[in-house]
Amino acid sequence: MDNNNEVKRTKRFNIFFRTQHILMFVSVTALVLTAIPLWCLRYPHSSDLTGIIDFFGGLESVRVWHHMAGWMLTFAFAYHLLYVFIHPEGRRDFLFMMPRRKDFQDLYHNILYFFGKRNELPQFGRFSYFEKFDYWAAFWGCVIMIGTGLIMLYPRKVTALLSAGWGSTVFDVALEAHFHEAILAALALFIWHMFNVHFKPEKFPGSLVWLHGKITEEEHQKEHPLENEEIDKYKTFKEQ
Amino acid sequence: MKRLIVFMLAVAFCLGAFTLHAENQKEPEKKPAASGVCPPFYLKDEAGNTIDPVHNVNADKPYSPKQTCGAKGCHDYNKITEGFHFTQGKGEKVPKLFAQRYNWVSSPGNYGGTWCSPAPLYRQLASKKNDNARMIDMTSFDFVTATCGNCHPGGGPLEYDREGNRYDESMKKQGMKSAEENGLNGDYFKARWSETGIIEADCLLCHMPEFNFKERNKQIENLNFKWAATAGSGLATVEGSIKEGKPVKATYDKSKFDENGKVSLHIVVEPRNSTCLHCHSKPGWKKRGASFSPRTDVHIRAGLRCVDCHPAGSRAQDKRIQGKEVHQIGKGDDPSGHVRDDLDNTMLDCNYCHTNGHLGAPIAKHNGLPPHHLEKIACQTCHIPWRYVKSAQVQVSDVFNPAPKISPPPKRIWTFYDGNLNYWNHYGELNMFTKEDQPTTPFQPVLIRYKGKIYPANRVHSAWPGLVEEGKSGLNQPLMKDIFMMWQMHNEDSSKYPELSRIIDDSGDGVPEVNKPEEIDAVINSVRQYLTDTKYDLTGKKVVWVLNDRLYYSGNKWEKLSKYDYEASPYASVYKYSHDVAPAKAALGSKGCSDCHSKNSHFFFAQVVEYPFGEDGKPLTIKQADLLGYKEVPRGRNPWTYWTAVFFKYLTIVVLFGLVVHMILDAWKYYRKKS
Repeated sequence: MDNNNEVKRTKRFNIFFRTQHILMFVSVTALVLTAIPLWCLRYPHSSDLTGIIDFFGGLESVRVWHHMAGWMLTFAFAYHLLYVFIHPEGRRDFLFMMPRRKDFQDLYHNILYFFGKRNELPQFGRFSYFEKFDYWAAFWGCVIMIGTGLIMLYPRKVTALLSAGWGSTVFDVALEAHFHEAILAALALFIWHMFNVHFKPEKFPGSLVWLHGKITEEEHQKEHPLENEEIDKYKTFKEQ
Repeated sequence: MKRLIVFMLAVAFCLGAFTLHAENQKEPEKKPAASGVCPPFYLKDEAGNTIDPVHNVNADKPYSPKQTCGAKGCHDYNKITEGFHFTQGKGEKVPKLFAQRYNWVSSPGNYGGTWCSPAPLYRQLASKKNDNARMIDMTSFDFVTATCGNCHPGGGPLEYDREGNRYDESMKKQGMKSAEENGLNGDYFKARWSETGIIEADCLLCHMPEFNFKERNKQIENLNFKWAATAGSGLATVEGSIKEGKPVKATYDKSKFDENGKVSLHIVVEPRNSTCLHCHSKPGWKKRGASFSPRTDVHIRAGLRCVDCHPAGSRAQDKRIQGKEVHQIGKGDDPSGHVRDDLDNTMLDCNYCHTNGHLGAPIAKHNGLPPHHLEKIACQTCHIPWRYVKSAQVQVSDVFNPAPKISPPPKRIWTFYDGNLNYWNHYGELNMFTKEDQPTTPFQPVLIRYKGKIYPANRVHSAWPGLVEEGKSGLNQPLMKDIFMMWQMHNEDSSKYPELSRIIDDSGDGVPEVNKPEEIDAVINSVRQYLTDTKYDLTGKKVVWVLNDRLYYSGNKWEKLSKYDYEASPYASVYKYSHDVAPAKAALGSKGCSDCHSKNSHFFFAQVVEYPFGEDGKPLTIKQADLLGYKEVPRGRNPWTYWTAVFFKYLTIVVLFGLVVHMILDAWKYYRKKS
């Protein structure tokens, strides 16, 4: 964190983006925490794991909190979709998030850089390939987790919409997908995302961009040198 | 010509009218009588002759249910007596499993089956052909008198021998003599059928609510078999006794007959609960701790009748048992019940009523309960969380039960322990308390996994002396009376079979149990000695002792017997609990998921009995979840679930591998650059 007030800062994320992010990390953190005792249900015969359920106050209360956090995530995701459809910056950033050939070139370039085969880091636009990975992982995660969560929350209603005999299969598939995707999402978030924004040696102990939405000019130049050029191109394209 | 035509038309009209009249006359005979209510009818004797005490016609003869109810135009006696309540396994093929395990069985039912009590030792039906009187235990005749006849409604093995002949007629035809050896024939050895007559299926036993079982059974005890139905109906008093050699005579109560000599009885289509329970309550108590009372059962409290869930005949829902006068009564599927397995689950199950509201049943909602609970867990598991009356969780047949009021005495060879594994004088309680005063002894049922679902059950444990037979896969059992007599002799004179004195009480409940190597040896040696002394044919046989799934050749040498996981022993019963259902508000889960998903829950963490006695006399237990075979929550096994799991597992591995490698390289580059 930079305490020098004279350091010039540039705006990276608007209030809507930051709100979505806060809603998301609060809900996902709550979901992951409350998922621990729910995961223990996978081994109901283990007294230690069942003890964890008891520690969290029992299954009912855990379920209530998990469902509340799930609704919060659903709200965040819906909010994000609306933002993407309605807000100009949302539409712009969504387009910038689209994977491009340059992302794969940047990945290759970065690997060469890691191995000392190139001297310079790749130059990123508004979003680097690893930020795009974060975004699409979260996007995919929301679709899977909210979708399967709703199936499990309303099994009877879902069954009523399906052909006879499919209700149970769909429930089981939803349960399985929810379980595995939860692990993937949690690991990706807590290992990959946390590393990139907190534990990366040059980032430690982390940035407050998620709170005030600003980064220093220096950071901007280093991490997103092509952003302005990219935005200009987008504006020109729009005007045409 | 005109006259001729008119004449012919007149003749044709008259003939037509006459024919029509004749048809109309015949019509009432063709049409079946209006069903549901029996009109006044004549009693008939065995030969089909009318009994009319009002006009003193055959007034001293017992009536024959077969000839009376089965008279032409009335009921189909043969069809009715095909019901398994009558056959009790007679004529049914021995199931493969039975044949592999039990060397003494000849049918899956009570008649020639495994055992009547929850476990061996029990009386065994003698083979049809025998070459040694010493080896005959219970003949078909003894089957009637060994209290089996007290509940058996007649027909089947109480009427016909194993070749399909009427016992009494066959004895006369073959020149057999009453109470003699009769060629060691398992149906006729020492039998007195020619004097006692046979016991026909007694329709009134179930269909007349006022039927007097006590009077009927008194006649059976006196060997007045063919008079039993007459006495039980209350239409006549029966005096005399074949057993005591006194001539038997029926004296009808004329007040029960109309002026034509016909009777009009209180006959009902659907038997009352009390009728069913007359036979089912005692075994229901011993085997399942069932009380069938409003206090314990929500269905009885709601006024339901046995036949509401166990329908038969034209009222049955299942095609397998449906049909006018078909007396296959709708039944469930008990792990240890193998009579007419092809008719399993023909009764109305919980789902039938509680999804469509049949008979006003509340619709089960189970909101918020993940569907696999209902797929993997039987309704009874949650809705019978407790039993309030004892059942026999353990039946051992190797020590002498000294408790009071056990009758008849050979039953002292059984010692019972209840659901909490406390000693239980079952026969004493049965004698003193009856069903009306069953003591309250709550316990939580053991759960078993049976045919893919979890059920509450009594998984009976047994210990008994057995016989290994050369060339046979299963085990045989010594005769119950022999083991009883061995103990009786030892108790009277401890120098006889002295090793039995070594068997002592280790658990501190005051009752000895066989649980240590020297005690096992004492049983085996004493039984072998007794059988040898009494000239029991031990050729090719070895005396063993069996504890659950352990076959002991001696105190220190044993081998494991194969069994199903839900069984404690291949030689003891497993009874599912289905009666005495708690109201929904008392079911497991009514207080929340933590009823099962908490550290103290019975469902997963109860300690259930694996062996009733360890070397210290205390039970050896296992965790309930282990008995149920839990490794993890059983997932759906369909391909969709499987491939979903595979997809996500590999996705996780590939993605995380890439991310971790990227992070390591990133950090590695940073520090290398810095250094």
